[in-house]
Amino acid sequence: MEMEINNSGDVCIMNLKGDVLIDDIDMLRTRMIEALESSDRIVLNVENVTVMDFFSLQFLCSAHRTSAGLNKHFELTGKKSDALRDIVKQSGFKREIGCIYDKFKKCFWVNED
Amino acid sequence: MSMTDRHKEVFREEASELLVELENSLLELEERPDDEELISRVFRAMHTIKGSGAMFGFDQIVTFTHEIETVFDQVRNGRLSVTKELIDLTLESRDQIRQMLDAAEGESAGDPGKRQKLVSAYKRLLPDSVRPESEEGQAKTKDKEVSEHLTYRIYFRPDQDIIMRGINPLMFLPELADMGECTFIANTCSIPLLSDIDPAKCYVSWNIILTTNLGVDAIKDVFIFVEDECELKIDVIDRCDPADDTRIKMVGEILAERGDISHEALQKVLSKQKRIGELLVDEGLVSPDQIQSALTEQKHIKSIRDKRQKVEVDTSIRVASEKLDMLVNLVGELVTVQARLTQTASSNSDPELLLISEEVERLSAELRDNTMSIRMLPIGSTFSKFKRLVRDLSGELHKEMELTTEGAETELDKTVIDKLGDPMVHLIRNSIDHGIESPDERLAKGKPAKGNLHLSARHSGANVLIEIKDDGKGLDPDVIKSKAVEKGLVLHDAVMTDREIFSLILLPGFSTAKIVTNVSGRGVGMDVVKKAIDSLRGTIEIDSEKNIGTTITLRLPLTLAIIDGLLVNIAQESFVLPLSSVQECIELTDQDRADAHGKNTVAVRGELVPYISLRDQFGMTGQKPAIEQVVITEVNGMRVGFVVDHVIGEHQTVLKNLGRFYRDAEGISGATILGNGSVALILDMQKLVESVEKREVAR
Repeated sequence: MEMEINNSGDVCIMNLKGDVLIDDIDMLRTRMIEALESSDRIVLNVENVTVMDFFSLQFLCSAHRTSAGLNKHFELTGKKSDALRDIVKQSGFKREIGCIYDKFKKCFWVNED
Repeated sequence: MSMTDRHKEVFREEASELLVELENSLLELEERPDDEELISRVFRAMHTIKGSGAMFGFDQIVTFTHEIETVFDQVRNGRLSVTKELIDLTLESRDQIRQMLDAAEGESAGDPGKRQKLVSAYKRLLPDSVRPESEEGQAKTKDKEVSEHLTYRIYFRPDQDIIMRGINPLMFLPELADMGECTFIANTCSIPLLSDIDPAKCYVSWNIILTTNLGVDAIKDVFIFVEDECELKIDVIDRCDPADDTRIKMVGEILAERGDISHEALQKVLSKQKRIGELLVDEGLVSPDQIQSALTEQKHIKSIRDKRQKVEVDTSIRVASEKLDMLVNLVGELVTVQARLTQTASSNSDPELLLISEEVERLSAELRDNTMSIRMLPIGSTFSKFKRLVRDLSGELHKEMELTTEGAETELDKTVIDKLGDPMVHLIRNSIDHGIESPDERLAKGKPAKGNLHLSARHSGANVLIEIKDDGKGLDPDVIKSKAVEKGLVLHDAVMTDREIFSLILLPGFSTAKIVTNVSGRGVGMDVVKKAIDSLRGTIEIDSEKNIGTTITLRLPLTLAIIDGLLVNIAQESFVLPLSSVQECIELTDQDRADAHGKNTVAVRGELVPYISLRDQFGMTGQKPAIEQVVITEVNGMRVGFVVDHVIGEHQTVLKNLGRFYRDAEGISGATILGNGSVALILDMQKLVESVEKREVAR
């Protein structure tokens, strides 16, 4: 996995590229915690991700609810990427209502096609 | 016929259809060996034949099909790949099953020796780990099946460290999905915050709703490797009973049934007006995950019931084609009687009777159209039969071929479709044998090595045009003409267009093949094709261009049961000419005859058109009118007139066969009964022209 981080004011944009797998989660977690400490809004772009696994979805959920708990905005872009769509479908994450932590009603998996 | 016999007959019919589908799937699979849907289709066909065969005592078929099914199960699971050998074996096996199906009860079916060889070949294909499982394995699967479809709610929470054992927690889901209709939803509420998450742990559990005919044991087997390290709960939640028309449960009911909330709490919240899911979450009684899971379950059951209802609505019935023929005959009789009623009503000038007759006319027209539409079948089923033929022939003749089709949905009367098979086989054989060049020859001409044969069908008025088009070497008009001259079929100095020359190949005994193969070239092909198409009241046109290819166009009537005709009179007798060939009607006076100097020709806008006097042809006596009528038609691409006394007008004609004694009457293709009860003969214009031509030549 390759990661490029751009900070612009209060926004931190994290661009991911390549395969995002279980071994990458630890590093992602560290970077995400750092970003939440320094920015109010974090945008994670997965448009150029080629493969994602089930554990990366768990990470995204965890990051989402952590940011919500801190009243920070965490957005996911490039949701149309095949890698993300495939794994969301395969693991049954697609849903109609977000989880209890989804206070901004921005669950990534709601009505995800 | 006993119930058992009837069921057996139904099985034979269904199995025959499955074998057709199997053959098509195999041929497509050869082109796309990785297509999972095709692999599943082959597996399903075998599985259904085996399953239904067992119910009706077709033990030989069951045993034999089991071997093929086992192999395709391995292919389905990705343990075996699709090879040419496998396709060849399965096509041969398909033919064996066909023979076993066709064999009468008690007869030795097919070729047992060949079947044994096929079974051995299949066994050699199987991976070692699968070979020992046979009867035992079969029995095992049977034990796991239940007689009805059930919907299960499965709760699966794997151990958090499942990945440490090298097991992907998602691996169970596709296996469940293979067992039936499956919906699953991940419960994500236990995923911790970033500060607490261990990236290698699984925090998710799943609610799976599965509709299948497999029992609980089969479901448990999926989790057999992790049974001690997971939480697994399996409940039956719907019995999929067609008679069960109970309403779909509401989300609140599902949650209460699952024990997620109490009935009391549900009732309390229901008294408020918000959506139940929102209310329950607001009250903190259930988590959004639980609501999501209940919603998924509700949707799943609804979709299963909707599908079941659709299947019930879509159900079709099988009717023996003889019964349909009988219905068409009866409708024909009704149309005739209705015509008499209309005639009587108008001659009696009774307004009430006229009203009734008009109503009967409308109803019988609707009934006729409906009955005819029942007999209409898409030509696609005929086209798909040729895929195998093309594959086998190209192998036999060492040619590379692809068959493409277009307009498979075009509908034609069943009788026409039934009779079309043989002539089309002949035309396709000819195209591959004579038309398509060898791969080397094609490459040398700058063509792709693989030849193309294109079959297409489309409507053209009351006809269907079927084209058989190849991109082969085309017909050589010089060769055809010199062969025809050599055989005395045409004069050396005859001036002919290319199309006229090409049509010479339809003459009896004509063959230009230098080598007689067992595919074609015996000189009995094309005239047989022509006869068959003539008998369908169709025509053949041939277009060809050297080194570009040949197109043979068959023009066929939509139906053989009813035709639009032109009713004419000669010496008080009625005749019908098929309207599709009629171009116009003109008058013929004594002056016109005199102008033609004794020849049977008439000038139509400057063009001399030969005619046949039907009065003379049929030896009819009596006074002919001063002004006769010439019906100008097109026969075999040529304009020919038929002289009659009077033209009555268009007439929708229900065709009746002539009795045994009159069947061979020259120039008559059938008869119809008119409104006044009299009989009108239907003219076969092509035969009439041929007989006159023969007489002329004999002179």
